[in-house]
Amino acid sequence: MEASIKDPYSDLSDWVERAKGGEVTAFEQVVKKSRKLVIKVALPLVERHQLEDVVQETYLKVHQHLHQLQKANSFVPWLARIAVNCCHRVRKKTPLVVESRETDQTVDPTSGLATKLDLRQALQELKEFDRNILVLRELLGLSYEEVAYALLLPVGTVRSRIHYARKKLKKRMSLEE
Amino acid sequence: MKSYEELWSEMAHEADEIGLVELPTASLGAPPERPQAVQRYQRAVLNGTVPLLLFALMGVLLNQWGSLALVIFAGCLVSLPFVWLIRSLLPTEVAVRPLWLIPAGLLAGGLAEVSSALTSLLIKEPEVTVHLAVEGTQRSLERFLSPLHLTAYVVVGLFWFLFLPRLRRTLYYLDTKPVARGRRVAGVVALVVVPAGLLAWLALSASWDERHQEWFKEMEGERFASFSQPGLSTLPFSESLINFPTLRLTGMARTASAERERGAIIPRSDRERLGRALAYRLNSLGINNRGYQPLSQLYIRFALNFGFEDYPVLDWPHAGWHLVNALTSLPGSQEELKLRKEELDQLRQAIPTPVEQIDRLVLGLIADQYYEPQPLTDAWGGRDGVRRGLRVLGYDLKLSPTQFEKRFVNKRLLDFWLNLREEMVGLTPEQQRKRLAAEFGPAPHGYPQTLRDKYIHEWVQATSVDKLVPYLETAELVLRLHESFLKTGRYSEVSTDARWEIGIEGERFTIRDQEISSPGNTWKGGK
Repeated sequence: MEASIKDPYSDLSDWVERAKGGEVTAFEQVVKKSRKLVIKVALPLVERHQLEDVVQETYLKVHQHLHQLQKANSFVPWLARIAVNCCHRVRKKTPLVVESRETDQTVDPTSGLATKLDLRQALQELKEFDRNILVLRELLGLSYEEVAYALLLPVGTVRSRIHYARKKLKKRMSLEE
Repeated sequence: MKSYEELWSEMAHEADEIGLVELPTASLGAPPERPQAVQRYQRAVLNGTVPLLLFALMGVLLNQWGSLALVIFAGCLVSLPFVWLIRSLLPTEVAVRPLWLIPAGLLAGGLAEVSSALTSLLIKEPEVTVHLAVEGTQRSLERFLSPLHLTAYVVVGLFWFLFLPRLRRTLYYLDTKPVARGRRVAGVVALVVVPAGLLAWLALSASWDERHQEWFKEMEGERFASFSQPGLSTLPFSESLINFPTLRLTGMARTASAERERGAIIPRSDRERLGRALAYRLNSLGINNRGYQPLSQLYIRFALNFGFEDYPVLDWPHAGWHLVNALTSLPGSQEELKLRKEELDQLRQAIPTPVEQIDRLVLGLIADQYYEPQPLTDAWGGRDGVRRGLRVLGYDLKLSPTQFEKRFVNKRLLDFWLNLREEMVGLTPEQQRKRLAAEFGPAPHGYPQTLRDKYIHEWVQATSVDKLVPYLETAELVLRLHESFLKTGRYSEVSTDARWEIGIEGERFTIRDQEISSPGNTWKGGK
């Protein structure tokens, strides 16, 4: 499986291989280069103050289980899988609170903050299944195969659900034409 | 208003701008290089190996419940390679596709049952081992395809199906290993190509060729004739011994003999029942009884037709002794003497040559009418089990592994016999017997070691019926003595070779046959 977003993670596979071999500095590089990716996964899924916990827990798991990653070029979707699951665990401890759009009158609906908040709100209203698919596909730019690998789903399921989830999200945000 | 793509792009940009406290990764040390045992186990659970193994072990336990602990243990051990092979046929992420797992589990369980059946084989003879293996396979398949077993597998499979998502979420960090291409090829070959090839080869091997068809044509009378005597096969043996009148018994024996001479095949169980009843009645009459002589003649004729080896109560040396004994009393007239001579000629002509006798045995074996050499009979626990169709969910299919195997063995047997037969046809009976005996391999402790030797041993036994010939020759001598008495009023010397010692004292005579071993080679007769 090839990671579809090459630019920021192009040399990650080499570092992963070296980290698997037990190199401490290589592992530090892996963390450094992939950290933004974990934050991207976590940002729409947990509260801002929970990001630190998610990142820490994710890399702890990566450190413990990196040796059993079969292929280094599967690292990105594998990391995304761990991050998604860590978000799930953190959210179980402290559920995400998103204010209702109907009651939130203080935010100007034309501002950028409002649209970002709306996107987060709309995502929270989706099923977890659909939300995770959209985050990995739209925010991380993973391929269908990578999303399937990350979420342990058949590729066919990912293909069919992503279309449905997009439509639902647009409808929630009243973006549908 | 911003577009859908712009909203996601803004969120990505926001994520890029977030600065978090640096992680103290150096304090974690180097990542471990090897998985721990518990992690290996977790991975085996998720890639389907452990569930398959559980299915297989369940199959062994269900099938072997009540067997020796050693057999169960061996069955569990043998199931491991099957699971290993089946696992290679499954997708890597089998855990997310439980529907793959259920049929694979069924297959693993079934193969493990079959393999556990093989572990109970301790017999060293290869043919019998193969035979038992095929039988074990069929029985295991039948158990596996029974409603009880299938229900158990489906219930466990559904349980796994419900339990799996929870387990997968718990062990989300595991990356299941894809099966290597080489192992996948090995799995396909072992589980698909080899069994399919074996079945095709068996099907081709088990078909009759032109040579066999010619022999069948020659034997056509034997093959297609049938015999049915109402009440014969349903008659309990004890009843025939105690309650059957001699007249009815002899009537049945005459009918059976006549049918046999006509070429009919009579089931072995019926022949045995009737033959034993005749022998028992003959022994219980006593030699001075009026009915002894005709019954003795009838019995010998019956036994000649069906083979003396069937009746341990009165086997061929006894039959010969009875025959000569039956002739030692002086006939009342020339007509009676003539009838006895004719009867004797008929008996001599009725003795089959070894080739004819073996033809009957082989044909009977192939036509499944009679004769099954040991230890196959014991191994199957009765003849009825040999050629039964495969039972699936209570229904009998027409084909089964045992039927295939039986046809294969029959063909090999017939090939062997036809090759031998070509050499034996044209030889004298004695030469035929010698040629047959030459085929018999070394037999430590007097027991044949291979199935082939067992067949030959049976054939040698069956063809020994013409050892009755010396008795018939002695009987002919007795009749010649009687003939001289009827002509001159006293017994006189008849020309014989040195084989017989004849002693004459007026109206009595004594004959000792040196060709027949003592005791049982001396007869006294006369007026």
